[in-house]
Amino acid sequence: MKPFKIVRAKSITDINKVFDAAPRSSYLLAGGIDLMDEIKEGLITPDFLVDIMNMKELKVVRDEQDGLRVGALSTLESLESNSLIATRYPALAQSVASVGTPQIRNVATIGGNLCQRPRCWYYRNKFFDCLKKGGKTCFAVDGQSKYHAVFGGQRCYIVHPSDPAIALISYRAQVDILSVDGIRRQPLTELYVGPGEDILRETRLRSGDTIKTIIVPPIVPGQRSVFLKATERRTQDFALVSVALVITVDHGFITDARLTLGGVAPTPYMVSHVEDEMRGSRIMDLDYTKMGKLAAQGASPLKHNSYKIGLVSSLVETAIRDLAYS
Amino acid sequence: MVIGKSVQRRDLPEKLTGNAKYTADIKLPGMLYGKILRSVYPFAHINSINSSKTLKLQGVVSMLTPFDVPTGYIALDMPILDTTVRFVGDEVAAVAATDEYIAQQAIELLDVNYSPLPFVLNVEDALKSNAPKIHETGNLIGSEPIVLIRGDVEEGFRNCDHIFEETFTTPAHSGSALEPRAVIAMWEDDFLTIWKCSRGVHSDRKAISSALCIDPNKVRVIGPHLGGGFGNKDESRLAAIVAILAYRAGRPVKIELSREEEFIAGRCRHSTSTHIKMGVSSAGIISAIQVETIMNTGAYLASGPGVIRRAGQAALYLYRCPNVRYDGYLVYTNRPSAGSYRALGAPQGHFALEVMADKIAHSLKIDPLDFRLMNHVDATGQPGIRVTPPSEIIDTQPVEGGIPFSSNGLRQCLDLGSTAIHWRNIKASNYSDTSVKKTGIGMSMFIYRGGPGGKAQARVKLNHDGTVQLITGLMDVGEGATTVLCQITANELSIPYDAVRATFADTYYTPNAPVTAGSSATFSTGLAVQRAAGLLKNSIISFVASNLDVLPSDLEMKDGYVYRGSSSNTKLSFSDIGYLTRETPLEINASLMPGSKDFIINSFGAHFARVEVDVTTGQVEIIQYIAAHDSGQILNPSLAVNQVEGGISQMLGFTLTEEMIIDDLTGGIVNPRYLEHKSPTILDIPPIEVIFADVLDPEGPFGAKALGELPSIGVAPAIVNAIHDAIGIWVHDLPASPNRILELLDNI
Repeated sequence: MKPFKIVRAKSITDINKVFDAAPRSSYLLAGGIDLMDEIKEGLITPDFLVDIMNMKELKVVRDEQDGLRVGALSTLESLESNSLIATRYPALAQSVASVGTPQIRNVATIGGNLCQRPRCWYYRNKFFDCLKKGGKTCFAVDGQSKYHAVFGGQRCYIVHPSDPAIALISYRAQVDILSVDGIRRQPLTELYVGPGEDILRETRLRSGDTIKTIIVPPIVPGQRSVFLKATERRTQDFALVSVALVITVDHGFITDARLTLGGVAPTPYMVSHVEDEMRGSRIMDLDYTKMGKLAAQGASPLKHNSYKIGLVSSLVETAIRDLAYS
Repeated sequence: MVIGKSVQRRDLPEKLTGNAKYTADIKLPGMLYGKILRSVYPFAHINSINSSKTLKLQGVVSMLTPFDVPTGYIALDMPILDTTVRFVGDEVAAVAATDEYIAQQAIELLDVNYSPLPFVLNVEDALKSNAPKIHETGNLIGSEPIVLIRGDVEEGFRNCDHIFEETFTTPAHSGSALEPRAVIAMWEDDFLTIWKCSRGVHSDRKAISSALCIDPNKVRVIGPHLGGGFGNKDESRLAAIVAILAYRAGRPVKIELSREEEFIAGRCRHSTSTHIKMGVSSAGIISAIQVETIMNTGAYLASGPGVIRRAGQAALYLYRCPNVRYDGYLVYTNRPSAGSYRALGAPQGHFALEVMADKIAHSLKIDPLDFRLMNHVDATGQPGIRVTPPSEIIDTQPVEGGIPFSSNGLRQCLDLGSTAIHWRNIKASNYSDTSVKKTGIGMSMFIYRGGPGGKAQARVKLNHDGTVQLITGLMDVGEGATTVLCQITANELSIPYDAVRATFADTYYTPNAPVTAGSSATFSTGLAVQRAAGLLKNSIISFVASNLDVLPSDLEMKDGYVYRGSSSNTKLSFSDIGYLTRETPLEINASLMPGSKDFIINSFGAHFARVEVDVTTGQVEIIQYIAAHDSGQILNPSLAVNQVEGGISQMLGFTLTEEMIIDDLTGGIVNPRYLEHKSPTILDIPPIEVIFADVLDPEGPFGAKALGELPSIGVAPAIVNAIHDAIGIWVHDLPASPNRILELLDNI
């Protein structure tokens, strides 16, 4: 691996100093989990890693009026063991606990998790010069597509890898992004960009930008939430399909619903037509199987991933049933 | 008695404290680091390599290309480097430089001019008459299948009530040892020392010296601790490359493969397609078994012939049957090379046979346990007439009938295992699942070589301090041979286990030894050790007898002393004797050809699994696993249980998740990493109960038989049969991963 320098940053100014000097070969270093993979896989060859773990204000988790503020440098472990998150935002707690292994969660940060690069095995493999790396082909289209997208693939069939992102989006989380121009707040959904718009990137972060805080709106009375993830092994596995469902139930009626899927599309996949169908229904009268089927509507599988359609239906059905009886 | 006790494995303290040195841990003064350039084409001719940029790079010291390589062969079909590359990842060239990054840059600067050739990845394509020939000898190795016949299968099929036929497939999967392959080579004048990941230092020395055309006595191979091999680290191409780089550099060179390279250029298990046809009476008695297996060996032969042969043994010998036929096709393709991997072809062969057995039992409405109890081979062996001359040792993989086993605890394994899992109760309970998680139980049984391997040698020596040195050329590949063989030595000489010192895995100090393979180390080398230690005992007694001027028969060896008579106080300790013999130490060499002229020596077992299948996610969870084994007398129960647990854990991956996946259009492996070559994690490992049958084999050392590879054989069929019991679908193609289960459920 090419030797690189680690520069410790205490502020956005520190960060920008490095990025201004070497914009193409500087990378932010937080937990370093995905970063080290990318270096080892030859995807990036940094000259400078800007270590931001000393930016203490990015580690704070605070309960405020506009919601729960989660510093981007909070480790997944710290969120997993946070009792407030466990009681108020169970889907977030479940999603965080489903990531990697305890060793990974001790080091990985929530900000890094939200910004990790996709795990597509063609993208991650030096041997394949794929579209996402500026090549001419998406190898998954005619090749091995077991883990690839069934929705919204367009030219590139990566799937969104972050489990917490799925949960956070269902909670309508927002992010504060720290840049040279100051702080800008935007819905987490808008952080992500699909291959149709920009095939080389998955987020709208500009070079040197960093997520500062994730803001999860306060819970409302009658809010119930669940996160489910199907994998091939019981730990250290990315989702084949993941589902985060947040609903509000008032006197037995669903007044609000938010359903997001992971592992099926290049960005977190929001299933608004199912949300619409659920809103206004009595939860006990809802046809869960039908909702599951509805969620998979419009899927267009590749050669090896049609199983994901059934899996989406099953998980959505299970998620609604879980919440109905919770 | 030290035998039968769970003495602590010898390397435990150093491994637990992190002090154990593996090959990659070794650093020599002035050592260079090498990197291999690998082919980006599955099949291509290399026209030229322009190295001018590489050679200009500061820090590059030596280089090797197929255009300047010595002409020797490291294996029958493998030169040290070749101008033809045969899989994506095949070795093209190598560079040694002052650090790893320079070496990496250096190989990337090599400008290779390839002529890509049409390639084949699958055996069906490779066997077509117009298929590109991967080696000049043709893609079907040996130009014809191996055919093994006992009785007359056609006759057997004529005389049965039902014929069942099915095809089963298994994918390639990597041994994925935690330690990637590493080699260090150092020259002192014309003497070459190699440290490498090895499973047999003497066979490595032979291969390396022959490829480099140098005197084997000028080559020393040392096998440091091995971080997992599973039969897999038995090749020497890397060592030959590193040796040449070191020679040209005049400095030691190390190459350590990356994880990715380990997946690509390490050796995987052969993928197979097995067609099986069985004739059975209405009562469930088998009259004919016919099996055809086509096996993908990838770009090189490696140990393929042994693997294709072993894949047939289940069909030939597990069930008592007068008429059997096995046809085995071993085929070259442009995939990464397959090789030896724990139990060679046996898991693939047993998967097909043992799932087939359940399908037949199910179809005839016979309990699968009863079907096996009715048909399994018993102590008398197979019907038929012995062909092997009476003066010859019986093969451990016989085809002929008419030869009994030295011991056969298969029935005992079936009884013990089925009792432990409450098979009869569960089958009688008529349970039904109401939730999305369906439970089921399944079983398998298996047969394997019992331990006789190649010629075994051992040397034992009384050291001047009274300890006993055990010297063998064997490589402890992690299974614990250094522990168990020392137990045998201690037991034979009636000395404490701690009083035995071990010298292993260094060609300079040890007599020739076979590779640690075929689960033969304890049995074969164990017998040689037992004999050598017994002879040392005699020579110690003789020495003491002449020293004390008494008859040897008046002396007794006990607890590290030689006593004059059992009640006497006159005694000499081993230290006394060691001191007295310090000028001319007492030392014994023993060698023998293990095996029996009268009996088949085989090990057996039966596995039972209880699973839970989630029909909404396709996930299979193993709730309970029972492994009943007949490996004769167990010499070290703790190590033995460890072997069984390890084998089962490893093959859970083969059964449920692991697969080396190739991109059909380019021939590249898409998943050369742990994340997607999904080996089970500790959370995926079920509670495993290990049961050993009460069997004392008359041929083995202290009654022991083979164990090492056996646990990996029965896992896939036991689980697949349990999956069927749970959800009513048969998985014919491994792995039984969630996507496959969901697809099969979808097609009901």
